[in-house]
Amino acid sequence: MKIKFTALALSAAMVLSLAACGQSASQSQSAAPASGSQSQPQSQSASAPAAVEEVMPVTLTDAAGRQVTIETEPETLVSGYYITTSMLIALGQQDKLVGIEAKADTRPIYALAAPELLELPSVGTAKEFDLEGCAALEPDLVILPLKLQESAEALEQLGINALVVNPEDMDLLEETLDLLGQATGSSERAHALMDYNAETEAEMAELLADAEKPSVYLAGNSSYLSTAGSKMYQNTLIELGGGENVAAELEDDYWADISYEQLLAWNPDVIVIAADADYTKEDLLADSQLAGLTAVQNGAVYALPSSFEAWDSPVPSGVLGIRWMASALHGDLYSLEQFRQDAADFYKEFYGVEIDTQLITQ
Amino acid sequence: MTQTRRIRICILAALALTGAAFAVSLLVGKYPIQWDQLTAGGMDARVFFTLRLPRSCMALLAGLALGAAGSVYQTVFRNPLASPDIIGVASGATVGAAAAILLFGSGVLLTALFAFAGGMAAVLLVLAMAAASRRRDMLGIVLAGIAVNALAQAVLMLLKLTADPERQLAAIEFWTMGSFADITLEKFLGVLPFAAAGLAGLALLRRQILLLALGDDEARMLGVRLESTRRLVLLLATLVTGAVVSMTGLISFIGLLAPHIARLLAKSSRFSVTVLAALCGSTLLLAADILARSLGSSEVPVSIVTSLLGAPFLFWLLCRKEEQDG
Amino acid sequence: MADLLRIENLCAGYGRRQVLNGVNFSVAPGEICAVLGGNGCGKSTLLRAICGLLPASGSCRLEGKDVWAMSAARRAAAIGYLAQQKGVPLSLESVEVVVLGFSPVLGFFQQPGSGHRKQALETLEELGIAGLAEQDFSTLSEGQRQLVLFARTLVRRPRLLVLDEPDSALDYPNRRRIMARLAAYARQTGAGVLLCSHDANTALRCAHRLVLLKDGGVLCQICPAETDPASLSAALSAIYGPAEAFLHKGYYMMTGRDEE
Repeated sequence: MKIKFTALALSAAMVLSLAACGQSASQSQSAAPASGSQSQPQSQSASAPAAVEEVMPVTLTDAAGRQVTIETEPETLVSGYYITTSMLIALGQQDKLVGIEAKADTRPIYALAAPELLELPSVGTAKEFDLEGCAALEPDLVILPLKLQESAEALEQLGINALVVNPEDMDLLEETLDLLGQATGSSERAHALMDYNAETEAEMAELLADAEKPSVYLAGNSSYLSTAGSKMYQNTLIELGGGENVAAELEDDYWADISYEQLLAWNPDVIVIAADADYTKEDLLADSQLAGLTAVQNGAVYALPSSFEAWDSPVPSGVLGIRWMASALHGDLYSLEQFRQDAADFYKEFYGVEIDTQLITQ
Repeated sequence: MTQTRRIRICILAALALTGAAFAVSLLVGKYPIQWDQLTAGGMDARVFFTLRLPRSCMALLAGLALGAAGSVYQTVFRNPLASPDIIGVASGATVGAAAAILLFGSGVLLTALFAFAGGMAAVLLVLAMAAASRRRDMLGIVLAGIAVNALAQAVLMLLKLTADPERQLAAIEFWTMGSFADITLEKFLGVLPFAAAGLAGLALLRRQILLLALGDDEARMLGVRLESTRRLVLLLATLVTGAVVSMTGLISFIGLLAPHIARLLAKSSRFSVTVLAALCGSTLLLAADILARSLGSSEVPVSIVTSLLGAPFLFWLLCRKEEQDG
Repeated sequence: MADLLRIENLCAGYGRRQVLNGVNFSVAPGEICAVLGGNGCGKSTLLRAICGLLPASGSCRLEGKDVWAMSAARRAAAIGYLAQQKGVPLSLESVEVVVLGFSPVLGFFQQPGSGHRKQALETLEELGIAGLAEQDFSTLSEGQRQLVLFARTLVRRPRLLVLDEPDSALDYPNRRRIMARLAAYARQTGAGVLLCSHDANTALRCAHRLVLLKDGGVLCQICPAETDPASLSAALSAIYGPAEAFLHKGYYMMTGRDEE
């Protein structure tokens, strides 16, 4: 299977070998800071350019190591995870969706780019997946996160094709994009998105090469006394956006709780509040314990916008988080207005929607 | 003879009810099965045979197991509020499940295996501690149970602390709510031999269980090797509960409620009341699972249903009983 | 005649509190032996220690065999014990409660059969309570339960009966009935009976021998049939305080005497 896959990737590389030159350099550059993960066949092929001709049937190795053969291009899809649902919109597959994960109404991007998704039946959450409900939709392909691997196996017994994905960091996100592109016959768009990511990283790296790096504290979702250590996606975001994470010394792979004292000791130049924070910027500014912080005194407290998608998480539009970070930390080099334009272009290109750029704030 | 007749009638009625609940459980579900297509081998048949049937069978078996084990626990501990939790089955199984979730992420089978091992380990520890203590009575086991429960809670908190809150912690919490949503044929067949062996063992030991309900001196002078018999019976009841719970996650209140209903229907110390409790457990759990999968647009954890309906019902039953006894 | 039960230097207690401190006596086959003593003198402790329900030192031999070394089943088969605390009243037909008396002689997984039930019914009949056979044991009066439990003790025909307050909840006719049944049982089967009672009159009426306990030891042993009122009165006074024994229709009776 690996051989077959590599062959596929190689043949794809040959078809568009010219386009590869421009971006493979930037790709390898970006791979280094992103945790140096083990290179799997998918991540290798992710750096290869898109195959224009879709090859069906195709046999894929999914994130659970299962062999999934897709005979013909699926006409109906079920997505059990918000990241893959968003991805399928970006891949132009939203019309094929017949069922999606629960709580779709909490995702602004759906209402914006594909409001019809809100009418679709729910197949449950990652914790309680509705096998029968999913079977009743008779989808050609079901896309599930790794934690629903068991459900994928059960669906397989029912004779329903299921693909398991694990888009938990930027590299894995690209693998997932590649998988979904191949599985749904939309590799071209998948690779366009991957190219955009690589270009953004290269562009920002160049732009910020000589800029001074302010120290950044990323205030977490549940409380501003929780933050992201070096193992988290958010750390990459800060670094690619031209900042230095004050919490890089933390080894936790999830939000870590810290104390007031710790935060005062770090005394960051800039505080960035996570997109899905349960508190507001005003809450943080009103905390008298934090009044002495450089960031607070300089008014350098920014909140990631939450009107589209959480750009500080590995979602398809997560790449915009890097741009946003750059605009917040280095407004002189990359202005908010420029970012608004770039974000609008991104959503126009990949989601086919005009966004209200005034919703993008710092 | 009136007692015998009454029990016989109750058991027949409970059998009919359980059968009816099982039939409804087969009929209800998100997938609209075309019954005339069942033999055709298409999607209808696959949904029925790999999802609907195993799920209903699992709910049936889990109800039988929890009802019977609950009845045995209450008899052996001579306490109407005794349940598997007393001697650490639930907390041990939760620790096992949490450890598996942290170590291996998803993977229901590994989680089940660890939960089972955790539950059995906790109970063995309780029995060993009770044996090592100088207390020879039931209180020794209860006290050891309290200690082991507290220990298990500490370990569990430690595990939760290291868990990633969004996924692992959520998975641990979710496990404690119980669900039949992802039961497939293999999982049912994995549980069946353990549960069946435990239930058969309990049935064989029915006279010993009855004798354990007597005072310690009385039981001993009726030839019961008190400590070893008690240990054996508790281990069998634990085997039954542990096997079920490790696959479905914790299911609350059935083990407590079913024996009370059975005793309300037929007041007797006979083993047939344990059989009746098992049937009541099955009916209740099948009904709870039917509700769990049809209440909302997606699945509701089954323990939410059993607790929500079970707790007020149990309160009413116990108050009523006091009135009668008083 | 060889002793049926022989107790030598029996010491027992609860934790550090030693209650019995070297008790010696024996029970002959067919003999009814009553342990008498004031409240808290260790009557129940003695009976429980003999049955191996309490850690004890010394020796206790039944027909020459060490009772405490026997397996629970063998010991239970040989000794029929009626506890003072009557435990949890099971919700069973009375006859089923009596059938439980066969437990020590059944295999671990064995269930009692119809033969056992028949014997249980006969035993109830012997005690004149055949009418209770199908009634729910838990709904019976205390005295009726006592009779049923007595039947359970008798039903498997043990070699030794150890009865802790067998008459406590019984009315006078029933008290006489079970004492008569005891006497007949001991006479017919040669089994020994060891009982204790807080009512000395019961003991004086049915026992062949009295074992008087005081201060953790045996004060004296008396055979009422072979003694005179004066020495009996003296012995009883030693454990109960001023007491007087007198003959009434061939049996001794005891009354307390107010101290002047």
